[in-house]
Amino acid sequence: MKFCPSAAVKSLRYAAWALALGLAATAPAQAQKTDWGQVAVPNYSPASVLQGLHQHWTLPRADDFARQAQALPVAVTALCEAPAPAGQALAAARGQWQQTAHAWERLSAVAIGPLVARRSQRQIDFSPTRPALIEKAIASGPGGAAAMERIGTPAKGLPALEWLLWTRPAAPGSAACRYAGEVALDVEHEALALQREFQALAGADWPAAAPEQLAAGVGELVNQWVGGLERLRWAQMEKPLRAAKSKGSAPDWPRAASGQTAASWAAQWEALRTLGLAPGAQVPLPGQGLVPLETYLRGKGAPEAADALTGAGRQADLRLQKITRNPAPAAPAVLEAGRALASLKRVAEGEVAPALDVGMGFSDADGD
Amino acid sequence: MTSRRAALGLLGGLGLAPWMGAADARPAGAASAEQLLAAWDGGAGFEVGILAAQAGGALGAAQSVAVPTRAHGLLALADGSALAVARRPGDWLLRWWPQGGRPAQWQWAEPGRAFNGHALASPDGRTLYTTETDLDSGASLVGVRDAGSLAKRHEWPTFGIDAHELLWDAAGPGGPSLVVANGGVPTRPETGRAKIDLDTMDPSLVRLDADSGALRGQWRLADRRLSLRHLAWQGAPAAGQTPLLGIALQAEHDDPAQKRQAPVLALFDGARLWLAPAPVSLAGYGGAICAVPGGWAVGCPRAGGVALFNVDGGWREQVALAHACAVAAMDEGCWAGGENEALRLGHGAVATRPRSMRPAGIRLDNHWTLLPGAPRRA
Repeated sequence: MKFCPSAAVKSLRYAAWALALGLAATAPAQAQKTDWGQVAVPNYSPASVLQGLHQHWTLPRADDFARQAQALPVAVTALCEAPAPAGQALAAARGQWQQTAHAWERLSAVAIGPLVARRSQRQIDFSPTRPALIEKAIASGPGGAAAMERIGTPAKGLPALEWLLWTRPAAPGSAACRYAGEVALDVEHEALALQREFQALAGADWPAAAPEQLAAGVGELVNQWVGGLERLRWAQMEKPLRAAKSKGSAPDWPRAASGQTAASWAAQWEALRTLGLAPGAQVPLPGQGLVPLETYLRGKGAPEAADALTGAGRQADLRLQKITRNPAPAAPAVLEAGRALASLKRVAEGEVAPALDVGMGFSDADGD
Repeated sequence: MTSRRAALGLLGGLGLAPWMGAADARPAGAASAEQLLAAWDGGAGFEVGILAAQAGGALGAAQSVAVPTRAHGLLALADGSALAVARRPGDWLLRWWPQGGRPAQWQWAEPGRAFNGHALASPDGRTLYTTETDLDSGASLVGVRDAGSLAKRHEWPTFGIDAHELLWDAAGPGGPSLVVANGGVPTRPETGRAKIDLDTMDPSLVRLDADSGALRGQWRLADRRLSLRHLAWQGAPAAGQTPLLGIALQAEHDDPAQKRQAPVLALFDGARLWLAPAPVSLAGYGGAICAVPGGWAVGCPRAGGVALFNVDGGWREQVALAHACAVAAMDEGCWAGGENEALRLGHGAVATRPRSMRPAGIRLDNHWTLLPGAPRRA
């Protein structure tokens, strides 16, 4: 196994800079103190990166999402069967929706493997939800998975359930509540399917995989990590602000009805940060843990790209923490966070991907 | 490939009017009549705006507007405004007035729709047509929009997927029509642009009735791995005439050698669609196309140059320009934009020394277009 000492000088420079900014409290801040020149980082193979990814990242999160999603129909059924007033049951259903949504956000922030193949984001997190279509679906009274397949995605999934629990809370015993139960079952169905498929990936014999399959897997990870940054920056932060400005209305933030906008951003950023930045000097043995992109780069002898990723990542972390601590973030702070994410994306496209020999589907190089 | 120096010598051999000397010597003030509407990545982010000749001959950003994601197609509209379309899968249109006086106008893609990067204005200026994708089905469509409000009036199917550029055809049989390139490359919006199932590629060229959107014809190349993407007329199509349409291609072959050697130009005469192969490798990618006097210019960024063809598709030569892609038609030839440099191409050869672009490090997107008022082809 080949080990690569990293660029100690640059790491120390970042460490000094980060300490000056007082970032020591956050998880990635531990990395700021890391003297990478003193850490032996394995030269991870693509197989060990993908094995670590699926055994130590995607499967645990898919398990968590499945667990939360299985509790969701139970909570909604309890609401539908509760005697009026159903305040406590409604609060419980809302709480379970929040747990499920955050588990989903942690899993799907970087959409790889079955999340893409199944188009899960579209299936259960279509945005914006369409109230008129939800009303129509309620009137049609679907019962069972086959009937729900005939309901369009804009009327189901987590956003539709959010609408049924907050915007127009479904009353116990109502047709709307029965529909909410079907929507919850539909989310559970998708969660269990994802769990099965991630189990298969975690159990795959990665060292025996064909080189082109491994290259495609690493390429997908890097591309979709960048895609996750861009989705958070543009679709969820900047676009609602810009659209609101051009329409003269309030921003239509994701998860606004449930008051979970900041928590949703935090869950997604946590996933992106964990997959991108090393948590200090902890270095997993190949195949024994998640290998963040930064660690992968250091192991491949690309400390400049790793340092650039760390620097831009910490800037983004600082700004994301600022807005995700605030349940009602102000527009300037959101835009500032968006700019930091854009800078991080540029580093990923311009330095990380070339160092990992990955072609970027989101970049200039794939034609149009 | 022809170097710039060697290309200068070709002018006489081709027996074509050498206009490059005058252009090269033109002081920046005089050259400022030429303004290019362009989209670029300027280091701090994506922008659209106007590049104009500056003192010393460099092309500099005379005006710019920050855009949230990468832009692609650009239109100079008859009312003096400019339109930029987000790169696919995009979710915005931006219209702004370079002369000022009115606020910029944003239009967002409707839920379940994505812009595919190109737009077209009707000759009367009342209607805009945008290529789009239905994110549920993956099918492509033309969004028919009010040119004033940019709001959608209708949607027409393009009878394919991955529709890209579209042009107006006043000359086609049965009255005005739209000619649309269905790129045919399957992608998943969840992955941004990642291609899937290339064995199912189905690129085509379609003619749609300009009033109703009805399908009037559809043409395919035999090689389904050649995506039809960018379009240019050889001369303005007018009633009773049948001008040639040039189509820039993007090869998607699995075999790298086949891809490298793949043609980048196809031609369409209203009835037949055929390939124009080149005797050199152009890396299988033509990123933009424009008509030049007596031929075609195709930007080939992966081959590091602009490929020049005769009107009938016969090969002329390749002119070196790093990352050359954007090409904009002018009266005498075209402007070609590359990485940090631009060239004016004359009658089949390079006419000037390269112009640098400011600010340094600017990366042009696929397209740019000469603004009205500057000499240009129809």
